[in-house]
Amino acid sequence: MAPGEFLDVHLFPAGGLCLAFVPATDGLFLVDEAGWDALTLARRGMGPAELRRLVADAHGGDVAERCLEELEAVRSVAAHDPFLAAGTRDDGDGLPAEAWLPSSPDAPRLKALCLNVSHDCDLACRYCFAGRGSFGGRRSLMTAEVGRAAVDFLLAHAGDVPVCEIDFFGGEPLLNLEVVREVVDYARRRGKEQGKAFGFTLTTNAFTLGPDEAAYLDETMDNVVLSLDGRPRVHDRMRPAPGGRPTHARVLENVKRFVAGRGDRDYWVRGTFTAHNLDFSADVAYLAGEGFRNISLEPAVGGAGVAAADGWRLTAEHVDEVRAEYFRLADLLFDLEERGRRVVFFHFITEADEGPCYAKRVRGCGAGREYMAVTPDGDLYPCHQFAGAAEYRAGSVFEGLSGGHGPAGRVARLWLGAKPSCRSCWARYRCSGGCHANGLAATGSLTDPDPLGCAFMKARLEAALYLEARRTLAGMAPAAAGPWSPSAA
Amino acid sequence: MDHKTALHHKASESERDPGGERRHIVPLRGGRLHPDRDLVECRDCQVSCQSACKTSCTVGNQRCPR
Repeated sequence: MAPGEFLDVHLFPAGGLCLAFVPATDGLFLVDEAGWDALTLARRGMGPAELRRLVADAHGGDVAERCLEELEAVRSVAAHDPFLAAGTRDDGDGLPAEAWLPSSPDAPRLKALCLNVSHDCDLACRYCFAGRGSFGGRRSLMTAEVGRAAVDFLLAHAGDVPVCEIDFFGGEPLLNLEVVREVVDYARRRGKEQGKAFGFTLTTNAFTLGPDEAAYLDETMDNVVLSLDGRPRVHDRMRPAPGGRPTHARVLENVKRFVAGRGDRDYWVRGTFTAHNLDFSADVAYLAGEGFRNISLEPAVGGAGVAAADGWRLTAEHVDEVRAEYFRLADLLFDLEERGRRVVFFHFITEADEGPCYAKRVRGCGAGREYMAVTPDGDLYPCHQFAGAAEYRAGSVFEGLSGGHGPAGRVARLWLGAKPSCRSCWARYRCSGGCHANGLAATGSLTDPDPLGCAFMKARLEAALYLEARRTLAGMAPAAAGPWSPSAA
Repeated sequence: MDHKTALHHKASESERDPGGERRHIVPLRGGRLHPDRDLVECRDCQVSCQSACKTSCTVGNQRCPR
C-alpha cells in the first residue's frame, strides 16, 4: 500500500450501517468495526505492518490478516481514476485538463438553450431566485422573433451535435405559450432541414395548466417539470399568488390532471424545502400519496437578491437536521418500495452503471459552453441563474457571442479541476463542482463552491448511498427510472 | 423485528464469504463508471439544467444513454 492510495475513500455511518464510498469509481462497501478501523488507518497512509499490528491488537490477528486482504479490493478500485493523471487533483502530470473540455468558451459547441420566454410570473414565491419572475429587470415576454433567432443561434453553434435541446423557462412560461408553440414548430422545421433533432422541456408552476395546455405539453415536451412543494400549508406559505392568496389546491388539481394523462413519459414534480419544513420527507410522502412517481425536492438556495425576512433561509445550523431528514426520506422510500411502490427521488439516483462518464463528471453543468440562457430581449447568459446579471451577459442571439474573455467566459472555462476545494472532495464526481452561480452568490468567487450547498449535497449523497446499500442487502433491483435522456426519447 | 434490526441481520449475513468466514469490508458494488475518453465528445447526455433540478445543477444523477 502506498501513502495516499486510500485517501479518497469516504467512510461514514449511515442509519445503522457503516459504509465506505470510493469516488473514483462509485465503489460502495459495507464495513464492520474492524473494517472501519483498517480503512481509517489506511486512509492515514499507514503501511501494512503497522496497520496489521494495530488492527490485531484491537480485533485479533486473523481479523487483521483478513482486513489486509480485503483492503486490496478497495485499493484496486481506488487506484482506478484517470483524472488523477489529468490534473484533477494536482494540476500536473499526464493529460492536460483541456483534454476533457470539448469546446472553448470562444467557440462553444452548444447543445442546449434555456429560453426565458417570460420574465413575468403569476405567483409570488417568497424564495424565488428570479426576482419573482422579472430577474431584477422589467417584466416582459419573449417575442416569436427572438425565439426564432435563438433557434438559429443554437443551430449555428451546435456543430455536429445530433440532438439539440430547448428548455422553456421563466418566470412562468405558460404566460407566453403562443411563443412556445411558435418556437417548437420553428425548431422542428429548421432542425429537419439541418438533420438535427430537438428535445423540449418546460418548467411550470402549473397555476394555469388547464386541460388544453396540458394536452399540448404532453404531446410536445420530452420532460415537464411541475412545481409543487408538498403539503398544502408548506406550499401555500412559500408559493402564494400575488396578495398572498393560496395556490395549492388549484396547482395540485392541475398537476394531477397532467400526470394522469402522462403515462410512462417523463415528468418531475419538483418542490423546494426551506427552514420552515425541515421535515420535508413528509412532503415527499404527501406527493407520493397523491400518486406521483418522479419527485424532486431541493433546498432553497436564496441568492443575494432574495428577500428572507420571514426566516425561511437555510443556514449552517440546519445541516445536521437536513442530513437526518434525508436519511428518514431514504427509509421512507425503501419502505414504500418494499410494499411494491417505486417512487424515484431525483437526487437519490445513484446507479453508477447508467451514470454519466468521467468526462461529463469533470466538466460539470456546461454553463456557457454547452448550455446558455436567453432572456426575452435575446441577451445570452451562461445559464438561467446568471440571467439579468449584466456583467455576465455573453452577447445576444442577434449579435452573436461577445467573446470569451469576460466574466461569462470565465464561467464557461470552469470545471472540476478549477475549483481547488473540490479537487480532493469525496463527492466531486457526483456534484462536479456544484452550481457556479450558487458558489458566486455565497462566496463572491466563481471557483469557491457554496459551503452550505456542499454540506447538503454530501448529506443527500450519503443518504442515497445508504438507500442503495439497503436495496442491495434486500436484493432489490436498482431504480429503473432516470432523468430524461434526449437520444433515448 | 424493526427495520434497523432487520438491517443488521441482513448486513451480518452479507459479511460472510461462501465458506462462512466473516468478512469485514464487503463490496456492495464495484467500480462501474465509464472511463472511456471516446465519450468526451459524444454529448448524448442532457445538459444538467434540463433535468428536474433548476436551482442547483448536479450531474452525478444523470443517466448516460449509451
